[in-house]
Amino acid sequence: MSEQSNSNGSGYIIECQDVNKWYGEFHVLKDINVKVKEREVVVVIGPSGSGKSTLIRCINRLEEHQEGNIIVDGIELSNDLKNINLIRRETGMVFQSFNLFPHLTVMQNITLAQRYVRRRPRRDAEDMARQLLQRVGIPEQANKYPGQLSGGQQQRVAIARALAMQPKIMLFDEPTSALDPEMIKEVLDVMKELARSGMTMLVVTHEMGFAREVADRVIFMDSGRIVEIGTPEHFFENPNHERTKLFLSQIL
Amino acid sequence: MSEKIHRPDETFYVAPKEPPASRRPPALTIGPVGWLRKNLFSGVGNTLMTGITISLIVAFLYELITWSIVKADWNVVNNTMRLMMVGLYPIDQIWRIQLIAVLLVFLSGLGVGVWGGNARGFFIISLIIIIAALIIPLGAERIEPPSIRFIVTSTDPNGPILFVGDEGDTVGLTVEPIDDNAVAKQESPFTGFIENSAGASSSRALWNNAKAQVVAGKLDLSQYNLQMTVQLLDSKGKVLDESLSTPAHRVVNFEFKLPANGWYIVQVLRDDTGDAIFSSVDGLQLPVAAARALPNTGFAWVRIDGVNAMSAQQADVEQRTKTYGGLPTIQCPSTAECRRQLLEENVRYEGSRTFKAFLKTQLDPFLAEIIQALIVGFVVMLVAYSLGNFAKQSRNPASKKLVSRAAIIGWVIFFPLSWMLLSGFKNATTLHPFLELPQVAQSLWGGLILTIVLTFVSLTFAFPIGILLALGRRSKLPIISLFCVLFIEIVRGVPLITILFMAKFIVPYFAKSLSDTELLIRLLVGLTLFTAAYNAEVVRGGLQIIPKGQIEAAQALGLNPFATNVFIVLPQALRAVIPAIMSQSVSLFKDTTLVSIVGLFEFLGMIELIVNGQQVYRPYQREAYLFIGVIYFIISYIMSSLSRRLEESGAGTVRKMRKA
Ligand SMILES: Nc1ncnc2c1ncn2[C@@H]1O[C@H](COP(=O)(O)OP(=O)(O)OP(=O)(O)O)[C@@H](O)[C@H]1O
Ligand SMILES: [Mg+2]
Repeated sequence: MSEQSNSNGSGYIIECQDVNKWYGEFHVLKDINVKVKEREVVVVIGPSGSGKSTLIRCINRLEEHQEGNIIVDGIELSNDLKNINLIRRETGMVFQSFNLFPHLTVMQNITLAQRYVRRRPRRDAEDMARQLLQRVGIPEQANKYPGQLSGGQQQRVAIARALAMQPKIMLFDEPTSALDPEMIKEVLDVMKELARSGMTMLVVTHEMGFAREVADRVIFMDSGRIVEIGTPEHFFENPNHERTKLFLSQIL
Repeated sequence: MSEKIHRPDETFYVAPKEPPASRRPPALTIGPVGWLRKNLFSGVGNTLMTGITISLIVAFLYELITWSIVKADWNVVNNTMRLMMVGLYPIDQIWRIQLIAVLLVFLSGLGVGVWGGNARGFFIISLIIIIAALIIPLGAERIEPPSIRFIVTSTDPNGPILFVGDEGDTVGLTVEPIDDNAVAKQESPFTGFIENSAGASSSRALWNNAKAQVVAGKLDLSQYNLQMTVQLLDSKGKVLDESLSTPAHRVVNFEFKLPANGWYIVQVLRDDTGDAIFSSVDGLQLPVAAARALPNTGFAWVRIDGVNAMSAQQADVEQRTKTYGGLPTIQCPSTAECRRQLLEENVRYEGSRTFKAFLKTQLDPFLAEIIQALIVGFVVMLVAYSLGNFAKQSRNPASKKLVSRAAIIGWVIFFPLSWMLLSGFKNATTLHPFLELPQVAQSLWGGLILTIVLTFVSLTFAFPIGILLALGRRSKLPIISLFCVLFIEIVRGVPLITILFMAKFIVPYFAKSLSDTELLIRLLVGLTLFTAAYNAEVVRGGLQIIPKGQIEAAQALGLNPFATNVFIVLPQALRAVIPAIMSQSVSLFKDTTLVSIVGLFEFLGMIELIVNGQQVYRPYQREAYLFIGVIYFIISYIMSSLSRRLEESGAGTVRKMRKA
């Protein structure tokens, strides 16, 4: 991954400026302002229903925001389909429920978008897939179907599938919450390795250990707004806001 | 067992050192007996239901099968096989249909070979071969009509009877006296009775009347005392051969080889006097038959063999007059009696036959008709199967892939190719000589092949249209979704027959340019749109079960909506609705019968045409409808089995995944 960013010179790969979003009458995101630098790992935490998923889903336009600007890799998100597709190519996403394609093998899951979106020849796509499966630690599962894998393996395939598009940003929406404890570790290990390799990551998670160890910054959200942003040390040792303290006291 | 055994209800219990050996479950609870007891006879009510149901089924099947063997006359099926299967498709072009059938069997065999098949797969293939063999009218074996009989009574000589014969035909004449009262209680053997429009004087009516009297004790058949001469005359009235049947020498039986093409007459002369009959040889009078003591009483059948009943249709009558000359004039008691021609409409085939006779007279000609096709079919299937299986077993995965791909391509081009073969080209001669396929007008297509064309063409087109409609209905663009909803709801709200009538009458009225298109095409469009609307709803059901996460994952990977649908949504949705689509298809297959109402003679329409239009087949509607019922069932069964196979197959299906 090159040091040189093709962004607009601001040095930020994701910029959210005064983003507001409503579901009908319900105000989900309120005046969100976040900037993420390249190679930065940002963890988003907050109580259930606070709008964490909505925020990161706005970044690759799975959800539409109504006010404010979101600029990803120098491209402004608008209704322009071309921009949306450009941004989606640069961002990989990993879901809580894996969302692997059950009718395709692991190999096909990983190669489909490469071949169709990136127009990579089949052989290259498969080489890439094998490398990535190696990287996430399940090289031997290439020809199985998702239904034949454990949850942790499925999530690692999902990560490989997103990485195969060679995104600049990876979005994670609670990637470990649907997993049994012994599988959580194998997924987190992959994510840590990814973070060390310099990937820009925006991670929604309840894994405080992961946040403490890997995150460059932690964002705390509540009721649709950002309550506090800070380094993990600051955040876990002496949070400023009462709401943050309350939240941390409940989960730690 | 010297240890003290503690009972569980005591306050203190220790299990014996050795666990008891495992025993088998009670014999009556396992195996087939156990199954029967558990499922069929588990209680009084259940046993009663089982008993009643089984006896109903058995009774029904018994009736059906005995009727089919003993009484039914399957000539309507056999003799009109070609009409039923391919309609009026020109005989010299039938090789095209044969080619299609061979291709079909080949591709099926190849498929089973390369994609693997179980016993049921082979069963299905065999059914396909049988249907294909039926469609190929290779032989044209006719069921020979059984001999024809007319009755001679003490008062009614019941003749003469006129028929045409060709030179060299052998005509047999037999007198069968009825001189045993037990005969009245038997069923008549399976023969044709000569009927007469006069009704009361018809052979069968006379005989039934006599039987009733015997049963009532008013008539004694053993008082047989008929004396008569059975004669075969030519059209000029010259006696060709004759034989005398007397009470002493009752059974006479002679054969005669006809000298030329022409009209012939069978006539019975009765000797009503009590005198002996003499014949003079060299001036000496020798007694041929002794004088009778009793008056002239009794019944006898006169059986005519080797003669076919004649068609009464105008064209046939003209043809007959041309070949054999006009009706001969003969002397006879009354003119009405004289005109008793051996017409099809004057003959009723009835009675009962033995199983052996069934095999010989009914099944044999049927088998003779399809046996060659069956053999060819099985050979082709075996060759294709071995080819596919060889590729599958081979060490080289490329060869399996090659054959499998070839099979898929084969199926894909099979349908358009068949259509091309069936219809031919308009200017056949100007094309490459290899392609010289003269056009066969679609109005000549008919029978089962038309049913199959209607079904598969409309299915092929309805499937993609249905998918588009389903996707359109879920579209975010209101105009498109409104259009799709309107189309689907209107078409589903209208009976199919209305759509077919519109295709036939209203479309040409509104769009003059369309009135030249063949009726078949217009009806195909109607059937296609109808099926598409129903398919759309089924597919929509499938689309709804795809979790939103699937679409989001595809979007997040950058797949556009088209690719998302094609690669992610549709494969899963369609797989889930295969059973529904298939039942839709089977019902379309049966619904094609409706096109006969608007003037295309598909399978059912053809049968109706045959049994209603041709007098000779009118009494055999039961046989005809039973036959097509069986064929419809077989094809529907093939279709639904294929769908079940399709459901089970396909690695990585949602279904299979759940199983794993
Ligand atoms: N499609 C929708 N329509 C209406 N309301 C929605 C929709 N999706 C989410 N919401 C609401 O928006 C709020 C934020 O949802 P979101 O999924 O972003 O929460 P979250 O922080 O990710 O919570 P969790 O930790 O439980 O995943 C919730 O109150 C939810 O009820
Ligand atoms: Mg969430």
